[in-house]
Amino acid sequence: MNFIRKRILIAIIVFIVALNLDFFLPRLVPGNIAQTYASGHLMPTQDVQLIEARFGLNQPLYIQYFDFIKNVFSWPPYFGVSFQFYPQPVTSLVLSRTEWTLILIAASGLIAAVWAFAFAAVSAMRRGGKFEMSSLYSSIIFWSIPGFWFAMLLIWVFGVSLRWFPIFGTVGYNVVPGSMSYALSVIWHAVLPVTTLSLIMYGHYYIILRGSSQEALASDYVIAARGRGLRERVVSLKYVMRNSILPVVSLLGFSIAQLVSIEVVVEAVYSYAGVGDLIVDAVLYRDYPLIEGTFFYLTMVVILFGLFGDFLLIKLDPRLTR
Amino acid sequence: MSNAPATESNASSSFLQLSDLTVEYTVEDNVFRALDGISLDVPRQGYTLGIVGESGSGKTTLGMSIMGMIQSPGKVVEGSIKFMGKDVLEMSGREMRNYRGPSVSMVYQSAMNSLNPVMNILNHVVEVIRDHSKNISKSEATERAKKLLTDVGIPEDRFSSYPHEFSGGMRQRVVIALALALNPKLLIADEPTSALDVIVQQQILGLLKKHIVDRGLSLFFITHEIALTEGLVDNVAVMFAGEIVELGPSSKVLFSPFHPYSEELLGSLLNMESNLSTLDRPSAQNESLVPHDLTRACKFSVRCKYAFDRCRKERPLLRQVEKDRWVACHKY
Amino acid sequence: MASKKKQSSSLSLSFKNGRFGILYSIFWKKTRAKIGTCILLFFFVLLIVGPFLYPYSPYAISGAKNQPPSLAHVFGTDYQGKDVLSQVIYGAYPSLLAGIVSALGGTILGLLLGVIAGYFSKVEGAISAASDVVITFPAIPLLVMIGMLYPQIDQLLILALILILWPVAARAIRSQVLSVKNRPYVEAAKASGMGDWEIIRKIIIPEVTAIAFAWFVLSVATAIIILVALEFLGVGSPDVVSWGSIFYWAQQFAFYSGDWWWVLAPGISITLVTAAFAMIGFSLEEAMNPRLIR
Repeated sequence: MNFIRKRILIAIIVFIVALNLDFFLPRLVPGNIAQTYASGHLMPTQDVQLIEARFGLNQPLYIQYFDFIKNVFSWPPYFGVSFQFYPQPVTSLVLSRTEWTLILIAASGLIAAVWAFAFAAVSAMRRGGKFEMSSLYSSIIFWSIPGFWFAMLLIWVFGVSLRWFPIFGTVGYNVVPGSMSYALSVIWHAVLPVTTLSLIMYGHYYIILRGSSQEALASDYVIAARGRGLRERVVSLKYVMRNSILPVVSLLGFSIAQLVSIEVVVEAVYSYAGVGDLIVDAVLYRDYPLIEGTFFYLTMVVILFGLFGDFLLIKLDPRLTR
Repeated sequence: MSNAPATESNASSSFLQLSDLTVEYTVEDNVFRALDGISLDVPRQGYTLGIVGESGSGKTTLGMSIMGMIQSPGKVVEGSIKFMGKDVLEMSGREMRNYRGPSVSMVYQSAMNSLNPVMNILNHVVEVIRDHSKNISKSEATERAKKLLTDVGIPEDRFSSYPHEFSGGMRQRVVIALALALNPKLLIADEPTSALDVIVQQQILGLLKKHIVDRGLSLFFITHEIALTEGLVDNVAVMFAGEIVELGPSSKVLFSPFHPYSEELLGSLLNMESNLSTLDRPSAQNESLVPHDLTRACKFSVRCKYAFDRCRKERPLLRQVEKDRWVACHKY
Repeated sequence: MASKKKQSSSLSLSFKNGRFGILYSIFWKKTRAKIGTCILLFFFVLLIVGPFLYPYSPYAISGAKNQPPSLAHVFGTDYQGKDVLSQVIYGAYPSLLAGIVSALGGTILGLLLGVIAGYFSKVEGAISAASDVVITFPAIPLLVMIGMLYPQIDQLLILALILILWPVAARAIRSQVLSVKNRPYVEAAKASGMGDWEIIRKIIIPEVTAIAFAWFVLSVATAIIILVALEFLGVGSPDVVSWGSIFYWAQQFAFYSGDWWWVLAPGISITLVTAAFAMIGFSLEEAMNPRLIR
């Protein structure tokens, strides 16, 4: 129980910090956001004043803070209005795209995890062999590869040259939502982004798994298990891997945070209409409210996955609850 | 090979036969010889032996070798181990799986950590039973497991508990149950009680003794505390720097030791004032006094108060000096 | 004698020389370490010597537009006719420098906090909680936000990166400190009246320097990945030639019309250098694990 309480507390702290970052960071700018935005876009002064009034920027700080918190905790949570897509509220913009981002994150995360696990298990059984060496080197390369470059390569090879997969978008133009062809089109469009992401995340997961499985392999209970004459496959799975996944699961929040970071960049390259893609244009247009909202949303996604990982950990590690 | 000591005349297929066993550890160009020409002949099942020596004497390596568990950076460079006629060092993977568990099993020094943290103890035992035989149903295996755990003194309501929920002594009992699960013919116990307090120690030793007698199995009891061997095992082998320096019935060795080192081991028992037990001097100290490549001297000569010229020039071999006693010393 | 040497390596873990000695030899035996170091050396030479020997400037138009690799322009030219290889060479400086500086700052901060957390159990909970909070934030969205709000100050990004990187090193250092804290010579030092901070300075810190260095190398790799991605997105000034900015322009202009060279060579360079740091860092980290020799 202690463990869950601690993790929930951390989640709450992250939530609070994210909110406050969202509020204070833009307001530390000399001059207010509206003026900065306006200066980049050559706006007449009355329009600037309109924006200021609209966003409540000319009110004392504590009132702004109060309003901000009030808006966040209303339903739906209100994070202001996007500059680019005025007057569309940030929240609805983000939510309209969330399923795409979640598809990418969930699919890549899952594929990468399963893959890394399988390779680590086999490597544990055939230590020092070619398999271990090649999966180790490949994991380091995939860990190091810049996500956007890898995405470009895949687009170039599979999208442009071979024309096997579409090179942008989440779904085709003329498909009817809800139909079979829609589903197929979604999958088709997702193949390249998911491949990019899952290969890179395979690198991340494998490296962690390898570390913990090396430790497990040298531990007393594994040696004792072999001494009991247990089959190598049993030892690898139930003793080595079963214990090796614990650190990975406990770091789920962290690895999802990394996944989200890379996913944002990948969405940008593929023009994949997810939440991350919003960020890229928002940078160009200096759409501050949108950036803040997106950042907050993504952080929430990480927190939720992190909590999920913690609950999973409780199921997997009996030492935490007894 | 035929110099191997035995308490009876050498049968053609002894229970366990070690011949000139030599094991070396190589770490970055440094070679450490853990076992140096060990020869031992155990004629039959039921023969119990205490292996006594200080840290670094090679006793754990001996136990591990018999189990066939010497791994890099260790290596068996010479000699053979034959269990009921079969060469352990030449066993295939499958033969080894049938060897470890059903024939020989071991209780390790760090038995505390021998258990898988994510499995409850009942499953540990069930797993061992089922992994070795495809024909046993789950319920049958569970029954056997439960009986075994009860036999070693684990109360029934703790069967689904996890290793971290048990005290050291209880965990030790589980480990012993695991070692006995497949009815081995030889049980090697390496310092099974060194991490336990005295009362629990006695309980565990009593448990071991009971099972050995009940099942008629052989026990190799490895320890640095020579006192523990009394009453537990019939014979004692004293090891020093990778060699067996004395071997004989415990009643005789413990009360009238032949080898100067055995004397020292026993002498320090009586010396209430010596805090620094000579039994457990770290190996490093011995190593620096015993250059390993000096095969032409008695390794103990540097410490021996009886040492004379011959001791520094010639390595004494383990020889029979009485009906059932062997010593490796130039005094005899 | 041979056996004496072995004895010293296991007993003198407490002595700095002894520890670095084993570490060094284990580390060097790994092929990964050798490959990584070779790559780094190669790039090091390239980057130092390059600006002097290579005639083209990354800012000047020195050739026709969109030229594939040729003898004159080893990596070809970009959409304006600037040489690509020189962009790689000159562009390395901002990216690598920023990466190293952030990693250094992050490791030092992590060292400090890790040591304090490990040694003083009262604050351990707070520092652990802080580190858990920090690692939950997705780095790139956060840095994009900061970079966008304060584009004038490049250093802010480095500062933010430092604040993001410290938990990783701190975690490893803390566990190291925990194991060192209970060693007999530390207790002896305490008993003889040594103050806490003195113990930290004279005993603890030397022990953790090795592992801190390993994580420093890994942090450099991580920092480069993040920084290059930020440059690609256009945070900071994309007009300054850096590794990521090459792709910023590439994606907008001629990539899809087939100028693969513009993108391939820089990408390979970044991957290799990052991988080199990673190989070295992971080898170091593995070498330091007190596992028995494999």
